[in-house]
Amino acid sequence: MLTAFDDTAHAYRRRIYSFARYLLSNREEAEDVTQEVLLRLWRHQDGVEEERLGSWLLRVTRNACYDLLRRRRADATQPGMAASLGEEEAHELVSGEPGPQSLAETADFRRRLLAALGELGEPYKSIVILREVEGLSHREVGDALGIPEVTVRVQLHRARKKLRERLREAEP
Amino acid sequence: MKKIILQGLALALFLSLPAAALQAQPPSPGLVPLEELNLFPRDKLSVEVNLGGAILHLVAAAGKDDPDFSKLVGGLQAINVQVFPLKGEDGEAVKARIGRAVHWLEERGWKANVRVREKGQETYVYMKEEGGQIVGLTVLTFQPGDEAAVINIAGRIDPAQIGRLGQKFNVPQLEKVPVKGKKP
Amino acid sequence: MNRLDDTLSCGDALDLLEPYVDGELAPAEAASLRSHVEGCPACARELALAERIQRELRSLPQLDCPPEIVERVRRQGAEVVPFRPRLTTRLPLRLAAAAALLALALGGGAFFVRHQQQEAKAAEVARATREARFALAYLGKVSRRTSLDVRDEVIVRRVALPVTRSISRSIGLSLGSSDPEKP
Repeated sequence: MLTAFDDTAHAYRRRIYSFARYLLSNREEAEDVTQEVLLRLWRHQDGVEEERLGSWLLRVTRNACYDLLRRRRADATQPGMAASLGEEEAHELVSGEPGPQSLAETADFRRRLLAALGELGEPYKSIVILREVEGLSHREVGDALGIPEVTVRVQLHRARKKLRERLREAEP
Repeated sequence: MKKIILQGLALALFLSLPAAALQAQPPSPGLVPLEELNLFPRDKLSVEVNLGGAILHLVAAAGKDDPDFSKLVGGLQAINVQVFPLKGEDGEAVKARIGRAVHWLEERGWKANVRVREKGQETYVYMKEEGGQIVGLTVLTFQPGDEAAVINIAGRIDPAQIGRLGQKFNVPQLEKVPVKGKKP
Repeated sequence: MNRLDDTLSCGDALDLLEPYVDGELAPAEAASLRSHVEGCPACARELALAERIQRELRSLPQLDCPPEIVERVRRQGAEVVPFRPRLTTRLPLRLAAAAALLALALGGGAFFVRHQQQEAKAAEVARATREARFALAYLGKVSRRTSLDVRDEVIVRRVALPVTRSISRSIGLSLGSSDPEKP
């Protein structure tokens, strides 16, 4: 029998996981974070207002991802490991609908785009993922990250400008 | 790849109450999300208690031989405790986080009942009132060289019950709450 | 290269690309940018790149994790957690009676039984009881460490009287005593 927790967890698990996955570029770690976030939902389910649940979950997800990234940096034997996409991740994330360009060129562009996204600092990275990939409104992004909507718009522009500059530099 | 070690899991027996009943239960204004306060590193806590409404109802039902305790606990929505040993830790940093937690409470309408600072130790007792009823109690304490702690109790907190339990559980700062017509 | 009637520099134009792509420029500004881009191949390439970046980002899939994660979380949430008090507890242990638990189960709704035996549930309730008592006793320990004079005065003046007055008002009684220390 499904419980209220199950309903909520299933409703949000994709958003939590997808956000974590794009932040971390790693499937296993994203699953770990998703599990941790849902456990916190379990523990605090009586204490979070329903209309704030979505933003609360995203905020907890982001914090959990950055805790993990900090630990990862402390443990890393290879510098720059955090920013790179594994081959498996790259394959999965680039295999979407191609544009008018050839499949190979599209795949290459996406790989470079994801690499550039991985190198973005905060809050730019979270804003781009939540707005452009996850499709949240500016207001929802602001609620999730605790910043005003107008700031979200400005920082989103800055973020995409940074991506554009990086992609231009990295053009083959 | 290093896995996140999930520590300090909540003790919870999840009642399969009808979904409508669960969703109808409003969140307690007296509940403080200790997660957000981020006072102490969770993997270094010596004590962590996280009891939600469901398990507290079971505790209340099971403790009928202690009516005062049972009645108090039955009206609660949460009891959360974190105790952090300070040996070898940066006490000033912990104090600073406690200070931020105090601001957090005050920004949200919590009222200070006790603010004590002496000989390096600090204790703050805050309460949340709503409609003449105490709905939350939060205690923050710092004992240099020993430990720091946060205790949050949310739900229906009856001052008469607190007074009686203060005697039973040695909580003397609450035991002198005067209640007309009742003996402590 | 700027055209004679283009008031935008390339630098300015590049700064406006992202808001333009989002449709957030005022009509006059948008027109000015379009005009500049028409005559500037470099900026036109940048605009195309900016548009492609947004297009590609928006076409990235929303990823999903195995739904079993929710089940795993529920199992973990229901596990008995070792309670590790540093203090030597002098709290009396009150083990939940199986009959009381069963009575609650019959009277209070269906239990969500997954991997727990009845004995395990009783143990969980016993543990939660100890934890609840610990919390209350810890409050007592904190209070004993702190100055009683200050506390009593503050508690009585700031909490007890206002709350008691409101309670007494609501039940139509009045406080007879002028001494706040008297119950």
